[in-house]
Amino acid sequence: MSKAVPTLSPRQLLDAVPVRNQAVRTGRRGGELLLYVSLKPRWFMRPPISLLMPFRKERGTALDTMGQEVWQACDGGSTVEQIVERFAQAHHLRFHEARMSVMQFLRDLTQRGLLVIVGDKREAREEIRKAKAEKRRKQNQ
Amino acid sequence: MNQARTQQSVIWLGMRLAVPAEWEIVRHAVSPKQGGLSMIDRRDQRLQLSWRELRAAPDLGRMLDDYRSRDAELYPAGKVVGVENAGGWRALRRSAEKGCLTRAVRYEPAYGRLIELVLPWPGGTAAPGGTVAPVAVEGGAGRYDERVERAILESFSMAADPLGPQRWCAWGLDCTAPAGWPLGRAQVKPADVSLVFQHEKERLTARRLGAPDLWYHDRPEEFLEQELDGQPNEIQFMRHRGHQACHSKSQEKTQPYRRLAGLGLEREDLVWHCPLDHVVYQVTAHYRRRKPVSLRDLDVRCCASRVAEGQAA
Repeated sequence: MSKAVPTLSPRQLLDAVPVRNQAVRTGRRGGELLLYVSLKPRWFMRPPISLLMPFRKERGTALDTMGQEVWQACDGGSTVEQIVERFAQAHHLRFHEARMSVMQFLRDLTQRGLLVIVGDKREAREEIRKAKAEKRRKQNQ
Repeated sequence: MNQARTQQSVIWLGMRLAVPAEWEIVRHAVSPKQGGLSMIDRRDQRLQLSWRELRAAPDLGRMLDDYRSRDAELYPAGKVVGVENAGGWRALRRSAEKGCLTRAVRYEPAYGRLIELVLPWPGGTAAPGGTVAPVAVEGGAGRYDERVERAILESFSMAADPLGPQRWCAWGLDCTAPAGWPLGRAQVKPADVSLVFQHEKERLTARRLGAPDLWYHDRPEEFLEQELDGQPNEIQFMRHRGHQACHSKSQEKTQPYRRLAGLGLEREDLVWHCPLDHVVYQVTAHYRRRKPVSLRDLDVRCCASRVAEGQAA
């Protein structure tokens, strides 16, 4: 049986804290901020194959002004809600509008390994347990 | 606190209600026959409005009795009380240990529509006796707030003429569509909301784009070029609602054989930046050459028109 991965509910996500990957290397290209993250070495990325075919060791991501703003806001202390609120104020957006933009961006950064979202794991597990119990109860009915 | 900032009007399918400014529509239906509208605050669902077309008025008292008995069965420790001063609604409030819930029903004979409104109060409940424990912040933290409940119920109204021009107000976009142009679809993307009204093959679209400081730079022609994926046939600058606006005419991108067969649509755009709303508005009309539609038919309000309306009121 597959083990359920604790996922954060929208409510928990607001209280979660985005933390930058400390191993990220930064650079600049014009007005863009470049973030480089090391790629996990695969079995074929070593000599002699790597001597014939040089594999890239890092993956880069360029951030525009908006991206840089959110990246800077991810200081390891601010919650997602605080970041969204600041972004909304800075650009005269409604909270929900800003939330959609910021969350989409944070999701992208997380998928690229530049960021992790730290939430309350126990709370998430508890929520999964409750959801399962509720599902079971409905099935029994 | 400024009332304008704490309240917002939502107008959907002729139904109008005032809700706290922080609530947002997350689920919507566009059919007047049956559908629903759900709103959330930052964390929880706060309102659910549902409607159904009915030819004759239902027995609202019986509906409420059914809800009452169902609640008594599901929440034996809870208490269900009727809500007084509920505008034109018949309403009751259930107080249980897990939260409070207000449920209201009404029938609108002019529209032949049964409307149900549910207000969950997830953050807390009224006192065990069913009495009201007032809270300091309006609707704060999802706790039960009698003022919010009453304000929402009393604010509800229906547009006077079901067949006349219809006003829509949602996601910060406020517009009036001409009669006979129902809402075809509503698209909500990050800082980009559009309402598309359809009549046969013609379309009128109202769009609201946020955060213009990041991308607009007061160059509407550039924005239009990007939107149209090329140069428009005709472009002119004008004043609209007291703001600098840009109007363009072009043709919708389509297959060449469709254009040769006369099936291609003409396109007109009007774009303006409202610095007070911090928003770029775009009105687009798609129409067949033999059935021209004016952009002015779709009245999109920004700061200037709202101020004028306020003064008139």
